[in-house]
Amino acid sequence: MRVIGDLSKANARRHPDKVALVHGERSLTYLDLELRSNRLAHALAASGLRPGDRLGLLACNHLDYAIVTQGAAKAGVLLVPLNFRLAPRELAIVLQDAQVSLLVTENDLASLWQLALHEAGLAYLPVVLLADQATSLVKAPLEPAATSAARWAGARQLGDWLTAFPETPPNLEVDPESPCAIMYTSGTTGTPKGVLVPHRAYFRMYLGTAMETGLSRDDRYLMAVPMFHAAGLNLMLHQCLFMGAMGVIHRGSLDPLHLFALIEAERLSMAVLVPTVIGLLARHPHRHAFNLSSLRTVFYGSMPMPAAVLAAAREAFPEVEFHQIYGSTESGLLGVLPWSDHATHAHCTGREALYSHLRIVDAAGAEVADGAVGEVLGAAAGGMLAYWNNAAATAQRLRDGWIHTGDLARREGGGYFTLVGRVEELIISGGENIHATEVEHILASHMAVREVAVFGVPDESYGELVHAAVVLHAGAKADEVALDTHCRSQLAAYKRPRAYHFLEALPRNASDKVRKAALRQAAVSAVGTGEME
Amino acid sequence: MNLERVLPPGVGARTFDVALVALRAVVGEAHVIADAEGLVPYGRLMLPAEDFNHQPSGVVAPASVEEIQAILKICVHAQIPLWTVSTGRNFGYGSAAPATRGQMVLDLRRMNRILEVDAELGTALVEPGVTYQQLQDHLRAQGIPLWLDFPAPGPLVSPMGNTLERGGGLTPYGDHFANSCGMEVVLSDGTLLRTGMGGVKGTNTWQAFKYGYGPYLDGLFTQSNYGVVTKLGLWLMPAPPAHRTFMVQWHRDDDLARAIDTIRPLRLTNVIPNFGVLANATLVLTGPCRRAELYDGPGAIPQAVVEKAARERGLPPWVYLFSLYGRQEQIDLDTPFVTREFEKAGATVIPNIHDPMQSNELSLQTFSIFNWTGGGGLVWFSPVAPTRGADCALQTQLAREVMGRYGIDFMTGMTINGRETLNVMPMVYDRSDAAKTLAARRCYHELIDVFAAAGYGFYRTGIGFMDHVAAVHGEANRAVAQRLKHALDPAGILAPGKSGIHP
Repeated sequence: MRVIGDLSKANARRHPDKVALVHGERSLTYLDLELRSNRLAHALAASGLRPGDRLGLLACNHLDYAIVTQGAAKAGVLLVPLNFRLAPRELAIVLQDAQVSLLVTENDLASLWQLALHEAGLAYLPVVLLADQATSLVKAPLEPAATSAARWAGARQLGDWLTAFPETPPNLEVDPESPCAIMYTSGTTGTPKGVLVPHRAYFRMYLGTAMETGLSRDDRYLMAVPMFHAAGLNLMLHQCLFMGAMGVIHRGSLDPLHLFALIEAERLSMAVLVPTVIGLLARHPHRHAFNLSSLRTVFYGSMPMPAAVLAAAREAFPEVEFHQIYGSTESGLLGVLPWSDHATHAHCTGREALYSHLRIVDAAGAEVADGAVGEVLGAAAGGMLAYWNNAAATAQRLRDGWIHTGDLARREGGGYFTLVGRVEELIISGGENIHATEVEHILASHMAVREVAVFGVPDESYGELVHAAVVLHAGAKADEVALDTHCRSQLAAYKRPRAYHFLEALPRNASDKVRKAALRQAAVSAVGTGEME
Repeated sequence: MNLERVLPPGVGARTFDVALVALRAVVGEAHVIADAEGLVPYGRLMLPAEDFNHQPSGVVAPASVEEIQAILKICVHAQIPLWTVSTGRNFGYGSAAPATRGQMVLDLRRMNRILEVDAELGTALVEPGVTYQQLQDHLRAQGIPLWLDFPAPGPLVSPMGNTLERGGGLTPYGDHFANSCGMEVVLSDGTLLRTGMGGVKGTNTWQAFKYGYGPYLDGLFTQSNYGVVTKLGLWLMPAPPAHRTFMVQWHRDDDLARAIDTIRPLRLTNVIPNFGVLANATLVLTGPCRRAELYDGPGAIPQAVVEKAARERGLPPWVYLFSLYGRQEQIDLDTPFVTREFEKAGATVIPNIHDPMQSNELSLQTFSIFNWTGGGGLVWFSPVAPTRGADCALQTQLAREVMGRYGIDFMTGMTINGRETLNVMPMVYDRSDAAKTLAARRCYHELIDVFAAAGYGFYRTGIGFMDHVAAVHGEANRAVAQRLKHALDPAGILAPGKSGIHP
């Protein structure tokens, strides 16, 4: 296996009848996945998509997600997984930046993609719809989604579309060094950036992960985290297919009751989860009522795991082996803290992963000594090729054969390291990256706001919570409800501040830069009093 | 009986099984039923709807509000519709069976706590599974001098269930919804709503003042599918120092209109303070007789046969039972007045009658109605008439004519208010006979059409007939009900089809 399209191809040869993916009543064998993704590759070519063109995939977790990832890869088309939690305005920016030629999406998200396409001026874009799902996702659709989608001229069903194309493999050799996807990050300036990742980098990740954590083809994956995420797509969906294992897809709320029931009913052995969800599972009152004995392995990452949460998880699930996976969209897999190290180094992030190469360096680029903090660099060979259409950002991130992650880590003894913060002011809340500048930009556009500073405050459940310190114009009035309403229409929910602090002035240093550390400290101290003024 | 597995509509076996795992974890293994045999009691009907259309897919019986919230979370996710019952009786209106096939019954009978009784204010706060018998036992054990008003099968049924169906009884507190005060409701998204004054922290007026502040919401949760009501406040009647029940006998079949016009002013002025009941002889005869003892010919029992049998037992064609409550002096003062009013209209008044339903005595004697034909078939046809003799007479004429054509005996027990009369007609039939069940079903639908054509609507109906009755009450009503459904239960999982309201 060398390219992403081989995930279905090789497994279809090795065990064609094995069930690869299950969602509700539907399932796909590896042979199904191979043949249908072949059809899609032909269909994409017939629609005029050439190698290097972009296909947007905006969907909640769905059985056909893998058909699209495989089909796009086989056609040499770059997959652009899209975050369904974005506001229409944010999605429009990504669609414009990626210059997608076709959007694969679904009815449940019709109100999002229709507004985004309109906003992006892409109303002409061909739209292909995945099969409707029975599981409820939308709390209160503004109108019946089917009706809405039906009004979108030209939208066609994936299943109908594929029937016209052959099941034979497409006659196209895909270069493992070529990019297979553009994975969007939210970007340091608040403008999303697309990360071009080659096939080859992913296979290093799959191999390293499998060997570090002892994965098996007999694993049965809980596929609950969103597949558009780097972790959901690579550590979960594609890692499962790489192993030739089986995945059971969960769609919708990550409520522990749903996850527990699925683990018990489907005898699932493996899950990829963020610490927030692990904490909810570990402390859920009905945990003991389920038979979770099949669960053997849990990967966690995306955000720091509070010690109390890890302790609760270890106590709640004594049979489960927890592995911390560390990496980023740009760098790919960098570190692993395998279960065997948790007894002695649970406070650490991990150590360099197999097939990876990382350095922790100071501002001068020199390796830091044990106990010192520096920026984490990953070898370019294991990660991104470049940012999509963004040479300046690429030059900043990718220097001298190293990917500068922006993560700050302390080098521990014995090859371990511990993440301590971000070079940039990135807020990681519930596993989601939130850039303060983006939120500040939105808040600053409120007519009552004179100046604003957004920062993260540590939180046991979410890792960090977004706080905003706001200074209003003289005589202007706006409370937190008004500001939240203002953000609501322009920002994804997870990016909206969870607390507002109204100040007379922002604290600044001699260079007139806002002292966010001071704001953060004041907010932490004010937790007990509710006041930071 | 077909014992094949029933699944919720649009939900596959795999999805349903995952949901069952979660439900069992929440409420305990013993409180989830999903095997066909165990579900039989929940799909058993008395009314003449088609069994197939009302078979549940499962039963889940929570013990707390928190469990209900967890159940809703699971069922919203899996799109499993839930049909809520309190004790699951609702005899003749559908029992515990859902309005549409494959719903899961949310059985609240385990939630049976009497949370509070205020002897001074005459209020109680109860959970759904509390029965009238349980509440009365509690009052008596505590020596609290409060009476209950209950429907005919009182001992077995739930005050909450009957109130939410806007059922009634025969005492001055006979309008059960009017005598309720404050609800706790769980919405399908888990929101816990306390209506009226219940939202005020530390309130002690939740069961005292209904309306609270802003829109009065309680009515939304009666005869509807907008939420799961988990607590209900009741107003209870202080035990009267004395009471006297009267039987008024009307000697001719065509005395009905005169009877109604005589009763109306007495009810409007509250001289007669309770609903009472005006029954025809056939209904009265279901107590002492079986139908086969009187008539074994074809079709409905002839009126002449009924009147003859009644005469032989000292009964007239129409009987009105009512009571006076209060101080003995007041009752003694009013007795000659009401007697005179009825006698002026040609009726005979017999005082000091015993009617358990009008005197706080729970009894199952009304179940004798099932012995009339045997076979366990019963459905209530329940139109509303203005309390005017001409209207009640017309309704009687229409019902007799339609029922007669289907071979169903006409019976009615009218509960009479000053302005409206609930003309509650039990249709008793042999449900073990498929032809008779089909005839009863057709008869019921035709009755709806005939009454609607005459301008009459309905106070209540049972599963299998809800869409038809909802259509009679107008498209705008139905559309607004659906809009409310969409707003309050966007997932559309609570009791689809209840009162003709679908997601």
